Amino acid sequence: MIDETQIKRWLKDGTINKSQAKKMLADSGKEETESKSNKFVAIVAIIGAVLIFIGFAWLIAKNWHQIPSFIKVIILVGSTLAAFVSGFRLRQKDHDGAGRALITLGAMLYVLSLFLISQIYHLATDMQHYAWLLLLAWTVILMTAYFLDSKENLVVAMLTFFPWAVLQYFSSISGTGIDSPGGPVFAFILIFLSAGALLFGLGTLHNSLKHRFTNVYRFWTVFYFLLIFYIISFQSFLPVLSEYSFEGKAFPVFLVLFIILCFLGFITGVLFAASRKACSIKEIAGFIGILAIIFLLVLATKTGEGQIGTCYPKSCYDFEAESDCNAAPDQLICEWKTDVVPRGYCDQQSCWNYLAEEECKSANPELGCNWEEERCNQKQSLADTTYQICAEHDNQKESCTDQEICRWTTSYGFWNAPEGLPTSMWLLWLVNNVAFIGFIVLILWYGQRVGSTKIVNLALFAFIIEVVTRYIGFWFDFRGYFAFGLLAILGGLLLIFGALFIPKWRKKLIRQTKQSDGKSK
Amino acid sequence: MKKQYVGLIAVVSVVLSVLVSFILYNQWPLMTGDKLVLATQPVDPFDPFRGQYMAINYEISGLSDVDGFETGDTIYVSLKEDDEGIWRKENVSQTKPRRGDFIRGKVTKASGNTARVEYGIEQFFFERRAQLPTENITVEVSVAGSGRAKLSQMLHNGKPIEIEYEEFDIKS
Repeated sequence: MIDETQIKRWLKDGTINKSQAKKMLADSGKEETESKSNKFVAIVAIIGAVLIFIGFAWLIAKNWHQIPSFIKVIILVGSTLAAFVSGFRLRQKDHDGAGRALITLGAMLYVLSLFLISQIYHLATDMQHYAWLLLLAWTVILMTAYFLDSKENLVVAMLTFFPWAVLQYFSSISGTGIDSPGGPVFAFILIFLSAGALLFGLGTLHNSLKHRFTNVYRFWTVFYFLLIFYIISFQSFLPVLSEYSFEGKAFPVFLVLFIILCFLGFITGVLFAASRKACSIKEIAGFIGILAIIFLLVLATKTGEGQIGTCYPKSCYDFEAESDCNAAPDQLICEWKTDVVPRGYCDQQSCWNYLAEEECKSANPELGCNWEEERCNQKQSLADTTYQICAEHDNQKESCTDQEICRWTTSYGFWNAPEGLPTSMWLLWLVNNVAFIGFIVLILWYGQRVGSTKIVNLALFAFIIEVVTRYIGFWFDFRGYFAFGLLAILGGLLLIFGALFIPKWRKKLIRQTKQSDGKSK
Repeated sequence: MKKQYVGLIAVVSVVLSVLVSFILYNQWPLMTGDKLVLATQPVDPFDPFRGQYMAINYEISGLSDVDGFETGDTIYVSLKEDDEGIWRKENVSQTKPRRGDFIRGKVTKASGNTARVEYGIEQFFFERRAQLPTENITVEVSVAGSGRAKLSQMLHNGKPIEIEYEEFDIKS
């Protein structure tokens, strides 16, 4: 699109005369108004589609018995197909916005149909079943996105892809007896990074084919990595990340295959683009550099491992086999019972269970039972004693796990660590935030380079979120009237500064981005 | 045929075939299977995606005296009908029995000689706020030749369960 500055420059150069400039300015304005109006129609139509989806979803959740199951299926499957067909027809008849919205509605109704059928057949409610449903959902929706050339369906496919990957992973490790969260934490990081690499590979592949989905993949790659940086910019997540380990049980076949396929997608996309000279070595090297930086930042959390966490006493319920229960530490006073659950369970002995005086008096001395007022009382809560013993080892993982009766749980907050993060981790937190800001600046440059106003807007949004989040974080850290007053003034100044300069900055960046987009076209 | 319609036809065919296959896969044991009645211990939670349902714990969900099974293993439970018409565990095996009635499950937890097993029939969906009895409940399932089971109906005191639905109200 031609902008006003360009037309004025051409007029000054003598390339065009006054009447031509006038006509061009009028046409350009008209074109801009029309484009804005089309976008508005599309947004309104998509909101309409989402509302219809929510309406159908509520009716399914209600599980209306008045409608026989097969009629429910016919309604949902019929409306799914009707949405696809009518969306296709409307697009043919130049009602692009409404047509796109209906095609997206078709994708969402298809997901609902899967859920409805599984409700009718009373199918399982476990993670694996939902993983199967989401797999059927994202694969078919992805296909509809390409067949019907629908960017919106590509977004729906991606929105279902990530929950699928996470659910499938957790389903694969359920029941494998993983003791600590370390393995899954590391696996989670690998899932995030691999999926990010796949998105980048697909973005470069589509760019080399000059496909119109290129910017959708680029946008999501950027969004994805901004999200990862945002997560590691929180102090609370660093102790949890530091627990990562390479526990074999946390790496099921699914995870290994997922990582291999994601990196195969990345390599294929990059090699294909390189062979067509559609992507520079610098861009690929830059991306690999970002992957490596994130990976190193996560690995570096190990320096502060085991310094933020709570040391709890073990519970008798933790011992699931009779032999483990019988071998439990004496201080826990566990016993194997078969009274409530036929297959048995491990429970702590209690004075309250002894109904006769003789039983009470002959009970385990550790319990401290005392017969008074026709009942067997306990002098002191056993839990209190064991809690006291273990609490002395809070924020010291090694000494906590050395205690036979204690177990370690990494904390998300710092309620039992008045000094906050250990220095090494605090420094890492600073580095993470600097890296986040650096990444945002890089994305602003990248957005301008590829001519995507959406990517520029996303980077600006990430910048605002980072400032607001850190501001709230500081507020939590510096409690008290003085700090409150100081931060309120600082916050006010930031908002006024933001209100004055951010819109101008944004406008400037968007204008430059549109110009570079025009040049690239 | 115009080239632009190929995409639409492909989408309609794939969506339709996936949904129809999904229905047929679930309908198959109900169409071809033997009907068995199992003893239960129900509770009723809510699924945010699919609404109200009753979670059913079967007598054969927790097995004792089973050795050699690990979490994730497939288990075949041979069943025998008792005098009350309830099908109860006779024995278990890791391979598909050659004769008799049996049901296929998956070991979700194995500990010592006990195992927790799921058969894919552990939930019964019903309309929100509907009233249904939770005691003396048995379940009629249809079991295909492979051992794959589908819940066909719930029974109360041996008869099809009567669910009391809330009266239809536009504000409900």
